[in-house]
Amino acid sequence: MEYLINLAILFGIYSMLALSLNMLIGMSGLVSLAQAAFYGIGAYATAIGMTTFGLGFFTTIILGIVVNAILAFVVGKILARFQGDYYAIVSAGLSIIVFSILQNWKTVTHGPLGIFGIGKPAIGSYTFYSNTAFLGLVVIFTIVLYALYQWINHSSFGRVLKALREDEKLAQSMGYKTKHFKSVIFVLSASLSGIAGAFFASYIAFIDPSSFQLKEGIFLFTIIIVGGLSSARGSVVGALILISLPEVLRFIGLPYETAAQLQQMIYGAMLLLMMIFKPQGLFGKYRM
Amino acid sequence: MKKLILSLCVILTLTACKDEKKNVAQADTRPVVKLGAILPLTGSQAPMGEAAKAGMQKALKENTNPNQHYDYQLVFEDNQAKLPSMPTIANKMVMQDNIDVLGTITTAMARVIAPISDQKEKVLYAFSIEQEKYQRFGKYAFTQGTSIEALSDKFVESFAKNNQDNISIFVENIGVLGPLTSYLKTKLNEKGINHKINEFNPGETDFRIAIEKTKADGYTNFGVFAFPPERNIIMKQLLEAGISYNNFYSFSLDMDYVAENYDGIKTITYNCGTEDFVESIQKEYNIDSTYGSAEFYDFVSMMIEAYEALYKEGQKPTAEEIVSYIHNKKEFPCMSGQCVVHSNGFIINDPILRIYTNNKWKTIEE
Repeated sequence: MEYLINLAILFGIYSMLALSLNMLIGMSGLVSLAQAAFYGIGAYATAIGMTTFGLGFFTTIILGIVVNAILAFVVGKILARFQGDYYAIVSAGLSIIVFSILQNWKTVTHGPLGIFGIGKPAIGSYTFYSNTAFLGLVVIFTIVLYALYQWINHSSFGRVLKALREDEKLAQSMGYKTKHFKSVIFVLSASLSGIAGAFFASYIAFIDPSSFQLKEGIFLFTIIIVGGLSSARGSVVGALILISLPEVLRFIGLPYETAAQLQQMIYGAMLLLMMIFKPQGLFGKYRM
Repeated sequence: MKKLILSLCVILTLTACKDEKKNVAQADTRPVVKLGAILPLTGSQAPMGEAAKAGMQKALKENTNPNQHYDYQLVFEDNQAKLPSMPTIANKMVMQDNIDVLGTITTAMARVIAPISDQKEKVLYAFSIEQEKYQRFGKYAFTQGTSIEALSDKFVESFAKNNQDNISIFVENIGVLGPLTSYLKTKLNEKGINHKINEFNPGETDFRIAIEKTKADGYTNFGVFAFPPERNIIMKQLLEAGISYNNFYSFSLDMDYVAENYDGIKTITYNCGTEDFVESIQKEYNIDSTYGSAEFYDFVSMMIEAYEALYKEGQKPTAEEIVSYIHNKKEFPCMSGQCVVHSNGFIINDPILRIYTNNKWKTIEE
C-alpha cells in the first residue's frame, strides 16, 4: 500500500506538471522545453524557503509562484517573438541557463551538493507527515489545477489561445494581440509548474540540480504527447502511463542479470507502439 | 483505449513468462535475508551501478555457505540515477520484496531514502565520499568511501613532494566534486603552489581553448578531477595539446580506460581493493570494479557477519541490533585493509596513488 501511495504522489506531481505544460503546448501550440526550469525554481523556492528562512510550505509555494511569474514574464516577452521550432530552441536555452545557475550559485543553492532536510507541509499544528496525508494534499492541488485547466479551456481566453495555435496571423487579423496572449499563458504555465516543484521538494526531502535538467523538460513533453495535446484528461493519463509503466515492469519477473536493460527496452518499445498506432496521443485533440 | 488494453495484455503475458529461478532458491529451508540495492543499472551512471552489483554478487558467492544460519539473497532495482523514483522503489523493495537491508550508491540517493530506512527500520548502506565530520544520513545508515578532501590532500601532497609548481586543475562541478574547488585552493596556497582552477559543468565537451590559454599562462602541470565522459574528453584533449604524461595527474575511477590509453599516468583514487580483487571482478563479471565494487563487497560481507553473529531462532535481528553490533565491533576486515566504523556510521577509506604502465597498475603510495 505504501508503495502505491508513493507512486500516486509521484503521479500527482507529474500530473500537475503535465497540466501546466499542456496549457502552453496543447492550448496555444507553443512548444516549450523550459518547464523543468520552472519546476526546479519552484522546488528550490520551497527548499531554500523552508530550510534557510524557516518559512511554511504554503508560503514557499507562493514564493515559487511569484519568482516563476516574474522570470516567465521577462523571458516570455523575449519568447513571444518566436514561433514553432525557434520557440522550442529558445525555451531549451532557458532550461540550460536555469540548470547552470542552480548548479553554480553555490551560496544559495548549495550547487551540486543539493539541499536536504526539506520539511513537510503544515496547517496550524497539523503536519502532513504521513504519505497518505501528503497524497491527499497532492490530490487536492491536482484537482484544482485540472479544474483551472478546464475553466481556461472553455473560457474566451482559451478560445483565443486555440485560435493562436491554429493560425497566429489569422488571430492577429481579428484584432488580438497575440504576443500578449502568448506571454500571459507562458507566465501562468510557469507559475503553476512551480507548485509541482514545491510538492516534489517536500515529498523527496532532498533536491539537487540533476532533477531539473533539460531532459526532464523533454520527459514532461513526452507525457503530454503520449496522453494527448490540448486535453486535461490526456495530461493525467499520460502522467499515469509514463510514471507507472516503468514500475509495472518491475513486477514482470525478468531474470535479474538483465532485468534493468530489458525493462528499458520494453518501455521504449511500448512508447514506440503507442506513437505508431495513436500519434495524436490517447486523448489528443490537436496534432502538432 | 484499445491500444492501451493491448499494451497491458503484453505486460501480463510477460508476467506469465517470469523467471522461475527464484522458486528453486526457495527450496532452502533456512530463513532468508534479502540484501537489496537500488542502483543505476541503466543510463549514464550504469558503470557505477554495475560495479556495485558485481561487488555484491562476488561477496555473496565468497561469504556464504549452506552451514550458515541464513540463506542470503540479493535483490536489485534500477533507478537510472533518477532521484524522483527513489522513494517509490525503496518502498517497493521494503513492502513487496521484503528486503532486510537496503543499499544505494551516491550521497544524494542515500539522502532521499534515508527517511524510509528510518521509518521502516531497515539498515541503509551507501557508497559516498563525504567526510566523517558530517551528520549521519539516518538512524540505521552506514556510508563508505574516501572523502573528497582526502583525495585532494593526496593530490596536493604528491605535487609538493615532487617539487612541482604551476599547476592547472580542471574540476567538474558535479556531486561532491562541486565544493572541491575552494578546498583545493586552500591546500595549494598552504603549500605555496602556483595554481589555476578551471571549473566546468557536466556536459561540456570542448576544453581546447581553456587548455591553450592555460598553457600560454605558463602552467605546465595538469590535473583533472572529473567523472567520465567529461574526464576522458579532457584527458584526450590535454594529450592532443602535447601535455607530457609526467606532468599529468588524474583523479580517476574507471581505471581500465586509463590503463589502455595513458601509459605511465599517475592517478589518485578511492581505495578500490587489491589488485587481485580488481582483476577477479574484471574476469568474472567483465566489469571495471573501480566504481564501488570493493565497497559493496564490504557491505555484503559486513551484513552477513552481523546477521550470523546475531542469529536467534525464529527471529531475525532488528536494524537497531545490527547497527549496535557494527558499532560495538567498530573494525572490520575490508577491501582497503581494516575499516573503522565511526560513530556517525561513516567508514572512511584512505586514498591511494597509482601508476599505470603496460596496461597494469601498481600502487605507489597507500
